[in-house]
Order: sequence, then C-alpha cells, then structure tokens
Amino acid sequence: MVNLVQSLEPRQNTAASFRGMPEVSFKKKKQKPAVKEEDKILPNDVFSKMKYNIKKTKDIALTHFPRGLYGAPDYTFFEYLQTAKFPYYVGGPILAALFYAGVKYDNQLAGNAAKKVAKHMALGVGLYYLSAALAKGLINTTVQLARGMDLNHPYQRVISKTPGYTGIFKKGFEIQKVFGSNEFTRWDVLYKKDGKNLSEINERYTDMAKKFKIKAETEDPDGSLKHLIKKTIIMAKAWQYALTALFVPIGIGIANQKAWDEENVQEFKGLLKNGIFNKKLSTKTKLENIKTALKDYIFSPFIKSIQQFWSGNSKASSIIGKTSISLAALGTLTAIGLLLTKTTAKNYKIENKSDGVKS
Amino acid sequence: MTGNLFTKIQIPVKPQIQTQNSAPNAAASHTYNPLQTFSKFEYPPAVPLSAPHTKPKGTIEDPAKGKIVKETFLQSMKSTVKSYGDYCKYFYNAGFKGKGTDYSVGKINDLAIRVGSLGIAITLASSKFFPFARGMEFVGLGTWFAAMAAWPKLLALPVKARTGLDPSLKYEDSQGRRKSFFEDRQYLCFDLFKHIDKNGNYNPKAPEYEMFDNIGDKLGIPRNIPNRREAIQNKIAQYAVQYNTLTMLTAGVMTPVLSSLVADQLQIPLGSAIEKTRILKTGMSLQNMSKNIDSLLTQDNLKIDNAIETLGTKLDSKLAHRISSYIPVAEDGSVDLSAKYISPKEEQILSNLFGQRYYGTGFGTGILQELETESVISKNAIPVNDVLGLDIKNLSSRISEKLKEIKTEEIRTLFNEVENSYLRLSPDNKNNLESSKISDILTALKNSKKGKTAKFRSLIAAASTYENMTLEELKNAINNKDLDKLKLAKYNIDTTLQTEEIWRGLDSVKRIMKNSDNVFTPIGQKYAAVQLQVIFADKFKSAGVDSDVVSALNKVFEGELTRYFDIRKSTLIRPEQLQKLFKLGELNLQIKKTIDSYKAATIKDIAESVTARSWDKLPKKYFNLIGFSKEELEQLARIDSVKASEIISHKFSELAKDENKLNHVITMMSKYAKDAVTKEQKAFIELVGTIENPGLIIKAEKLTQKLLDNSSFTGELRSGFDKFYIGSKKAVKQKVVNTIDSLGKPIQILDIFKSLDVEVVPKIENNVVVGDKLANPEKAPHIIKDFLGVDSHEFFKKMQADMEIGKYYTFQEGYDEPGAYKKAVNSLVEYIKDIALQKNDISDWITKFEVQPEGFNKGIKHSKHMVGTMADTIFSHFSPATRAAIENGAKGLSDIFENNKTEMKRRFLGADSVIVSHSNFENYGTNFVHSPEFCALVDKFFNSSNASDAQETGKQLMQLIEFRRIKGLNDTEINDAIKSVKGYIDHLVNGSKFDKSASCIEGVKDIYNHNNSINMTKLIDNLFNSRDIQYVETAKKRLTMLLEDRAIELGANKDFQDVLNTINGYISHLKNGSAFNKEGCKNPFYKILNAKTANKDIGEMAGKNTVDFMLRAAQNIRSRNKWQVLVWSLFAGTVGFSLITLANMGHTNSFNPDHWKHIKKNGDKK
Repeated sequence: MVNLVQSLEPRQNTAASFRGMPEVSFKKKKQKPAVKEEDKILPNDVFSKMKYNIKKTKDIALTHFPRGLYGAPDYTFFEYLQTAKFPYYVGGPILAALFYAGVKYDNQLAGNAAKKVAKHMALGVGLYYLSAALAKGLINTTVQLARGMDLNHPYQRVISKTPGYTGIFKKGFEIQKVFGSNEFTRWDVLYKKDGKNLSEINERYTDMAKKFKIKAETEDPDGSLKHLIKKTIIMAKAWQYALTALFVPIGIGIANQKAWDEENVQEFKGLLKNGIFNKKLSTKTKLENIKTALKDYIFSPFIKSIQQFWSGNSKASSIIGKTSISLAALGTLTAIGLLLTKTTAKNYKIENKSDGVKS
Repeated sequence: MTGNLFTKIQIPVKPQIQTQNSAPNAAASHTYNPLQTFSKFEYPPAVPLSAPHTKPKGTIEDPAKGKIVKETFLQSMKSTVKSYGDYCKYFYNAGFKGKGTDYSVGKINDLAIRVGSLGIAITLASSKFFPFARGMEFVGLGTWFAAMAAWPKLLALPVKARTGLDPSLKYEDSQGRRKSFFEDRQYLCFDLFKHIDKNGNYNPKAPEYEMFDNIGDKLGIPRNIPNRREAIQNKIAQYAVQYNTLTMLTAGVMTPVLSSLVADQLQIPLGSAIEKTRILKTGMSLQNMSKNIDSLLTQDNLKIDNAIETLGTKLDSKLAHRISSYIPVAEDGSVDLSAKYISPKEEQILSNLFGQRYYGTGFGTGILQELETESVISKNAIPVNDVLGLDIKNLSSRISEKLKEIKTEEIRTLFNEVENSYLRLSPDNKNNLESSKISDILTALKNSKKGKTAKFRSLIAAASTYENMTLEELKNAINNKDLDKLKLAKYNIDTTLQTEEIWRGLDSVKRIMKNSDNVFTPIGQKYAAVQLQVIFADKFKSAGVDSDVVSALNKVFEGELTRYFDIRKSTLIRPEQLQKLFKLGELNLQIKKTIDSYKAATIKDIAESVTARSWDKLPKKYFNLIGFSKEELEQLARIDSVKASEIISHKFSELAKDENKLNHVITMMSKYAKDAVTKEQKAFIELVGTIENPGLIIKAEKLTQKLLDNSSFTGELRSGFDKFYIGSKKAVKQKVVNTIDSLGKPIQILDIFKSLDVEVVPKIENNVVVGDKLANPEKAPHIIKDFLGVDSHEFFKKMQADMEIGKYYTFQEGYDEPGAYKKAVNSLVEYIKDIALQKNDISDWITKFEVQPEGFNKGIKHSKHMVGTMADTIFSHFSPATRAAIENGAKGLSDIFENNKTEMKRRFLGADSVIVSHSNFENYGTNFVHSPEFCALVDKFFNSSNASDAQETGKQLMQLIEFRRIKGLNDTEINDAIKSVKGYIDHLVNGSKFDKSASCIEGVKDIYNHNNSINMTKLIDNLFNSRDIQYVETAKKRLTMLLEDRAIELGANKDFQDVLNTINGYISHLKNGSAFNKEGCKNPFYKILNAKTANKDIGEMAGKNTVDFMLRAAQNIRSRNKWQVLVWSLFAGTVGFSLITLANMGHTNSFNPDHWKHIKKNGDKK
C-alpha cells in the first residue's frame, strides 16, 4: 500500500517544496515547478512519519509557542493541541526530578534507599509514556492489519498563510491525520486525483474495501466505506483511550518492582564504557556485550518485574497486580474482538445500483 | 461548515474577516484567500453580522441553545461529576457501538486519564505497607489534578482583571457540549455575548454586546472607530491565545511544583489524622480484649473454649480441619476423643503445620516442644488390647522352642570346634571322621600338644558328655533337635503364658500408670516387660523347674519382649490435648496480633508509628532550637560523627554559657519532648500497666497461666509462654525508657556542659590560677580529684599516652606554667564533654583506662573509681535551674527524665559490674511504673474539698497503702500514711483540725516511692553479710517487695523463685547451720536485674546518641532544604516568566499591529 501510493504519486507533486515543508521526495530536490499548494495525502512509512514527527516537535517550540505568545490572529486549533503536548511530556519528568531532589544524599543508607525509589520513579515515568504508546499502537496495528487504514496516516493541510501584516513566523501547512476526526474525515485526500478512470481514482478505497470484507467489486467503494471507516475511527479511538487507562497502571506497577534493583547503574555504566564503547574490542564482542546488556538490564528485569507485579508482595498488591493485568488483557481482547467483528462489512448489505447485484 | 451558528447566518456578498475553521473544505482554502482582497486596507472593515431575514424553505431551525457557562465552585463540582457519567455513556456508545462525535471521543480521553491515574494511585498504594504512605498516593493524585485545574485558573485571574473577561471561560453549545471558549482561535462564538450586560449577567433588555463595550474601554480601544466590536473581539482573542500558550508553557512545570508543595503541606494533617485513627482503632480493640480477659479471669474452672468464644478468636481453618479429622463425631453427636494412631508422615505434616503457624510468634518453640511430649503426640506408644495379649501369649509359647534352638546351637558350635581341632591334628582321618566315636576323637585331642591347655581341657570336658556317641549320631541329634539324645530333656517345657496371667501383668501396669488411653508409652512398655517377666518366672519356679532353666528362659523372654515392643511401636496422638494446644496457640496468637498492632501504631520502631513520627519531628525541632548556622548545618550533614561531635560540643558549650538562652532552649525542648513522652507512657500503661492496674500483656499472661493450670500440659509449654510474655514486657519497657532517654539526653548534656563551664572551670581557675599566675599549684590535683574521683596525674598519664597528641595536654610536666595549666584543664573538660556526647559503652571506658599505656608499668590506679564518677556525672541529677526550666516547659517531665536516668545508669553500669561499688547508687531502681498514678491519686485526694469524694478516694488510697503492708513495707510508714488519710477525711466530715502540710502529702506519696530511698544492691549485700536472722527476714520481705514492684519489667518468674530460695537457704543456714555456699549467692539476684553489662547491645542499653541525633536532623534538614530550593526556584522562575508574559499581553506586535490607532482622526488616545 505504502509503495503503491508513492509510486502512483505524480512526480511534480513529490517535488513540491513549500515553505517549511519537509522533503518527502527523493529526486529533483532543486526543481521548483510552480504548483498550487494543496491538501494531499503523505506517505505513511516509518521514516517519513519520523521525519514529520521531528518537524512537528520542532514546530511546537519554534513556531507554535512563539506565535501563541504573540497572540497570532491566525492561530489554529491544531497549534493549540500541539502545544498541549508540552505539559504532558514535561510534567512527569519534573515530578520525578522533584522527588529525586528530596533524597537524603548525606546519609548513605537512606540515600541509597531513596535513590532506588527515585530510580523506580524515573522508570515509572518512562514506562508510563511507553505503555500509553503501546495501548495506542496495539489498536492502530490491529486496524491497520485488519482494515488497511492507518489511524496515523499523515496528510498535509494547507492553511491560509499569514497575511501581509504578520511577522516573522511562517505557517504554510499543518501535518495532520487523515483519520484524525470522524466528523471531518479527509475523504478527499484519499482519492487519487490524477487517476484516469474511476477505479484508479478510487484505488485506496478499493483496497480498503477488500479489507473491510466488501466481497465483490463495488461501483461505489468510497460511499460504501465511509460510514464503516467512521465507525472504525470512533471505536478505535475509544479503545485507544480505554486501553491507555488500563495499561498505564501496569507500567507504573512494573516500574516499582524489586527486579529493577538487582542490577545497578554503576555496573551498567561500566559495561557501556568497557564493554560497548571500548575501541579495543572487536565488533563481535561488542555485539555480544550489547546483547548481554539488553538481556541483563532490560529484558530479564522486565520479565521478572511482570512476574513480581503479578504475584505481589502483599495480599492487596497481589490482588491489584492480578486484576490489572487480567483487566488489561481482557480489555485488549475485547477491543480487538469488537474492532474485528463490528467494523466489517459483513454486517451490512451492499448493493450496486446499476445491476442490483448483492455482494 | 463547522459551527451551527454561522451556518444559519446569511453571509453578505462582501467576504468576512472572520476566518473559520475550514477543515472540511480544503479546496476552498487555497483557491480563495479572503485576506488578499483587503491588502489595500490597513484595517479591514467588516460588516456587522445580522440574523437572516428569510428562512430557506423546508428547513427546520434548531433552537440556538448555546450559552456561556457560569457556575459557582459547588455547581461546577456537580456538573463535573455528572459529566463523568455522560463520559461513561460516550465510551459505551463509541467502544461497543461505534457511535460518537469528535467531542465525545475527546471526552473519553479525559475520562481515561482520570481512571488511569486513579489506577496508578491504587497500584502504588497497594505496594505500600503503611497507611500514611498509601494515603499519600491518593493525596498526590488529588493534588496533581487540583494543581492541573488550579494553575490555569490562577493565570486567568490577572488576565481577567486586565480585560474583564475570563480567558479560561467555558461555553455550552446547542448540543449541550462543554468546551473551552477560546480553544480554537478561528472559531469563537462571540455572539453568545450578545445579551450579556456590563455586569456579566444574561440580560436581554440590556444593549447588545454591552459587556464588550466595557471591555473595549478597559483595553483602551478608541470609541469612534468603525467596527469597534470586532476590534475588541480581536484584542480579546489575542489575550486568549497568549493566555492559552502561556498556560501550556507553564503547566508542565507548575502542575508538579504546586502538587508537591500542596501534598507536602497535606502530609501534616494527613499524618496526624491517620495517627489518631490508628491509635483509636488499635486502642479500642486492645481495650475490648482487655475487658474480655477481665471477665474470663473471674471465672472458676475456666475452659479454653470459653476463652476462645469470649475473645472471638478465629481458628486457622487448615489446622482446625486437620485436627477435627482426628475427632470423629458419631451419629448420635457424641465425640470420640480417644487417642488415635497416625503414621510418622502424618505426624510430620502436623508438626510442620504447627511450626508454620506459630513461626516467629515467640511462643512457637514452646508449642512445638509440647507437641513432641507424651502429653500430645507420643511417638513410641503401643496399644493395650486383645491383640497385645494374644501376641504375648504366642510369644511366650515360642520361648521353649527358642531356648531349644539356642542350646542345640551351643552344642553344634562346640563340636564344630572339636572337629576342626581334630582335623588340624590328623588331616588324613577326614574320610572316616563321621563314623568315629567321639571318645576316640577326644582321646586324640587330649594326647595332642595343645591338649594340656586350659581351653582344650574345658572343650574336652564339655564334649565328653557325648563320648558314647559317634559324631554322625550327634550331628543327627542336633539337626533333629532331639533334646533327649542331647541330654537336654530338662529344657523340654511348655512355656505358654495363659491369657489371664498376661492380663494380670498388663492390668497392674495400667493401674500403676493410671492409663485410661489403653496405651503403653515407653515407660509403660518397660514396666510391662518387667511385670510379665516376673509372672513368667514365678510360674516356672512354682512348678519346680530348675532355677538355671528358669533364668535361661527368662532371659530369652526378656529379649523377645523388647524386640516385640520395638516392632509394635507406633505414633499416637491425643486429639483432646492437641485441640487444646491448638486453641491455646490461636488464642495467644490473637492476643499477640492485638498487642502488635497497637505497638505498631504507637511505640514500635516502624514507619508511621507514633514513635517514628516523633523521631521525624523532634530532632529537627531540637536542632532548630540550638540555632546552627547554615555553614554548620552543611558541615554537620556531610561530615563524620567525630568531627560532628566537635561542632556540636562547641555549639552546646556556647549555649551553656548563656544562661537565659539555655533556659529558654531547655524549656522549649521539654515542651517538644513532653508530647512524645506522654504518648509513649500512655502506650506503656495500655500494654503493660501497673501492678494495681495491669495492662493487656499482664492480663493475657495471667489468662494463659490460668488456662495452663487447668490443663495437663508439661512445663515446656509453660516456659514457652513465660518467655514470650516476659520478652513482650521487657521490649515495651525498654523501648519507652530508650525514647525518654534519647529525648532527655540533650538536656542532660546541656546541664553537664553548664556545670563544667560555669562551675568547674572557674573553680579550678579561681583557686589555682590567680590572675595570670599559678597561685596554688598544689591545689590543682585535688580539684581534679574532686571532680573525677581520680588523681589528675593518673588521669593525664592516660591522656598523654592514649589521646591524640597535641589535642590533650598533660599535667605531668610543666603544669606550673599558667598557660599550659589552662589548656590542660580545657582539654580535660573537652574530654568529659566528648564522653557525654558520644560514649555509650561502659566497657569502652573501662578498657580505655585499664589498659597499660605505652611507657608505663600499669594502667590508671583508680580507673574504676574514675569511671564510676564519670557515670555519676553523666547520669547526675539536673541542676535546680535546669530542673526549673524543664518544669517550666512541661510539668512533671523532670521527674520522668530523672527516674529514667537512674534506670539508664543501672543498665549502663550493670549490677555485676565492678564499677557499681564505686558509684553513687542512691537512686538505684525506678519508680516510673507506679508513682505517677499513685501520686495523682494522692493529689486528687488531698485536693478534694467534698467529703464524699474524699471518702471515696480515701478508701481506694487506704487499700493501696494496706497493700504495701502485706508486701512488707515498714509498719510505721504505713500507719503514718493511713493516719494522714483518715485525718483529712475526718477534717472534711467533722471539721476536725488537720495540717495539710507538704511533708504529710509527701509522706503518703512515699509509700509507693520506694526506689528513691532504698538501695537494692546495698540491701542484698547487707543481707548476705548479716548474721542476724531478724534482719535477714526483714530484708527478705523488703527485697521481695522491691523485686515484685519491678516484676513487670523484670518478669523473670523462675529467677525470682531462685532468689527467694537462696535467701531461704541462707536463713536456714543461720538457723540450723545447714550448708550454704556464699560464693555466687548473689548471682540469681543479678540475673533477675538483668544487670550484666557484657554481651549486651549498646542500643539496648541506651537511647540515641546525641551526636547521632543531631546529625540525622542536620541531614534531614539539608535534604529538605535542597528540595525546597529546587521546588521554590522552579516556582519562582515559572511565576516570574508568567508575570513578564502577562505584563506584555495584549500589546501591539507584528501579529497584532492595531492599525486602528493610525487611522484615528482624533488620535486622542494612545
């Protein structure tokens, strides 16, 4: 699908170079044909997405915040939402830092104990974001595999550029998600506008239609799909949030297990210094060391901590551990089950008007 | 188009400046840019919006229900709660049906964040063991969300003050969805303000957009520009965007900062609330149990089941089930409690279960040992039944056969030897050996070389009985066991015992053993074997059998019986006893749990107990009182205790010299300490109590003893429980004494420092040094001796050799120089101060002074005396001024401290220590346990002005006084006290004369104030030195009383008996001259005092070292300071940034050029 989109993308479009837009094309960088700026779908492969994300992150600091602080009249809701990510990612680490500041470092014993707690706290912050990402990723992968739609599929949205009287900060387009809204889903960018005939124009819809189990060729794949896609978006988003709520306590719970205390930071640093970033060692040994490091410091404490969280250190924590893991598992299964059964076209009759054939 | 409002508004041909969220129609956005049209204008004019005049045909207009949300705090709480209900509905619709809107899906995220955070708090709380830590997780959750909500509101205040409009405003659209008004700059439904008047209230009669006109004036937007309202709206929007951005920029820092600050403050109320609830909760269950035990103790013939029922003990189901399987219930409901046999494996399982259940309880070992005794599980028992009788009968019948075998075997062995010897002589005759006559063989042997030896002769003699037979004939006879031919006919007897004979023996054993179980324990088995042998032997003796035959038979019988019993032995269980043991264990376990939970809430060294909380607070308070500077704090927190001791010593000395400040500090310290001390004492009273008013531990001990008295358990169990209860009492007492010591020690040290700096040093200086000259050099050693109890030469000999060179000076050389002398005095004082501050271990002192310094022949001459004096100094009484300062802060605390000190000194030195005789032990012992209550009662009595009250109290008082008489207190003292009490009652009732003097009240109080006047050590010394029976008897009575008074703390019942036995031994020695070994006679006494210093933990002997005390406080304060610096600097930084941004809000800038200023013609306002 990804390659298909790229290969079918008209060349002049991939070469388009808007102000501030990331380069998505691989050829003819310097060529700047006069093209109209227009909304269009963007490739959704991993690298491109990473590129967009870097740009989006950079924009938060360099564009959205300054513009917001100046009170730009053309400030958009998208920018508002982008800036809202800042407190989300800053709050947790600062809380952990504040906790770490309270460590009694003068007293060896108390200091060590508190450092351990602080380590758990930092791990907790990390695992919090990770488990939230996992919850979202799980649903997204399910939808992508089962329905061929990537909830994070980016598209560029051209917005009215700053009028003449605005200042130094430029704003040409925003990178948003095609399926970001169920009310304003960007059906239009999903069409291949330079298609020669209906089937070419509808290609993306046709591909999705297969995944949605619309059996025969339909004349109107886009029309038939739209309400199913909407349904999928709503369901997927609802479960993404719900699973986040279920996964996040597990992340925190895992971070707070004793398994993480077994290996200490000093040893890890030593391994990095002497075992991995040591010029004298051969690549093979280094790889071995990396493997060991991953196993000893990440993989095995992680597995152990899950076991410890499950069994708990007291009656209450054992109940909580078992309940939260079971609930999350149950939630995931329910979510996947519902997405697979409720969004398929099998539940609906699709008729082609021209011949009345039911599929 | 997105908004419901604008869809209905007919837009005039002229395009609007109001750009909308053009999301759905992207194509339009690039094909047409309305702003370009206006590039020629400096400020694009707009035409006011007006409602459409005509309605498109066939459309039904939705009523516009949008409104600005205006709620009080309570209302918003209500709507928040309600909205979460809606969010759940949204989730159901979206997650299960796939129905919803962007708004509803967004709200699911809000719900998820709340639920997830609650989940995190629950997860974290569940991993915490203590209620406060658990509680703080939820406090943290609460403050986090509160901070998240509060910070935007706080930031909104200055903006609102500036513009008159709250930028955190919310509105509700026609669908009832709540949104933040300014979240989307491109979609602002300002028309909701159409009917909002200048006061911000809905008022349709007011001029339209009245509020905005006001805002415009406030913001200084000129009145006479065209399209003023839009200019105002744009300005408001500018503020709102700036405000939103500022919120986003600062919330990430401010939420955790505010949350931590608030949570930090909430720790105090949460902590004390939890402390109170815990004490209340555990105290209530303690008192309930105490009451229940009281009622049980009054019952005669108390059964364990009653106790279990009254105390509501829940039995461990696993063990209960197993035990009940040994007690089958018949159909008629009768219970079979008889002993049962079990397999060794089952026995193992049972004892494992018991072991697991009572592991670490303190009485578990006793229970396990009891389990192993015969009274519960007998491992080598034999059932006494018909089978046993029959078996023994069979066994006896086989005895003659056995004997026959033995005898024939003897002959076989004999002839094997004969044959072998013969073959060695003439190996050639092997073939016809069988047919040879035995007499021939014997003759050949006789004539051989060896034939003369004693061994051969006896062999030949024995074999000659059969000389007429051939070897073959003999062998046949042996193989056929033909007793006649082998000439053993006399062994041919019927050995069968008759059943009645057997039972005669067994029954007699049963009678002797008082055995109702029909079981023989190993002792029973031995007994039975003897009885049966007697019967067996008697039977043949009376039948006239040869005595050697009888004894041979008996020997075989004995062996067979032992073998038989060994085989038959099996494990026997007595279910009734087992159940009793189990129930006793469960009962005590429940008691222990109640005690433990109360202890955990109060005096235990465990997080969140009252003690721990005091330890969290008090050192910091003490530390702040003394007033260390910031540099000193830094140093103290970082350095080791030796250096810290110097700093603290210096600081204390400074303080000691300033009397006013010192008294203030002591008063404040006492104030702080009082609360902690009172709480600890209260816990002590609840747990251990006094003799008159025992606490739960004592009562439980009595209950257990009563139950044991009514049972047939062995001493193992009893001593197991004894150990447990003694240990419990001791632990409580020790803990309380230690805490009081730790809190009193800084005051004591300040007092010592004062006496050193203000009294001793000037005294030396004034007497020895006059001006700058050494006036009376010969006096110096005496003053030192007065102070230290040791010749200064001796002391400084040690100093010179042992102490740091250069730090301490010596008197030995050159002390006639004034400068050197002063330095030496100072170093001595420093040394004593150092000891007071940190030396806790007596053995450390002793070895220090007894060790022979390098270059000297021996150690210090009077080292013991010196150590004794030092102990006296360190545990001395408070000076009157200090005492007054303490009383000023907390009344009664000085007595508590003083009593505690004598107790600490007793522990510190130990009664067996050689130091004791060198130390002033006038205050040996403690009256801590009784005095406060008794004294309170005395005070209450003498303060009562009401006759009936006094009579009531007086009755109680006299009972208590009489109680002392029974205990052997001096009659005169008691009579005087009773006289005083009666006199006062008489005075109140009849108005007779009564002198209520202080001495009279003190006299009454003294009845229980025994320990201040009597020296227990001296008493026992005198007792064993006296040969006057009268004196010894009195001393014994007195000692008994003293020991009983301290029985709670000492609790050594067995040792107590030992002391009495020793004294009784001594009395009888005096009376009848019976043997008595004086050596070691005092040992039981020392043992009971638990007074041996050696092998004792320092922590057990003393409270907290003061240097350590201060060090911890410094560390805690420093780490807290570090946290505070970070949190407040983050706070200040964020607030500062916010203030700067706020100050610049709404200003003209490149985005908002405010061109209307320039097109103004009047231009009156800037």
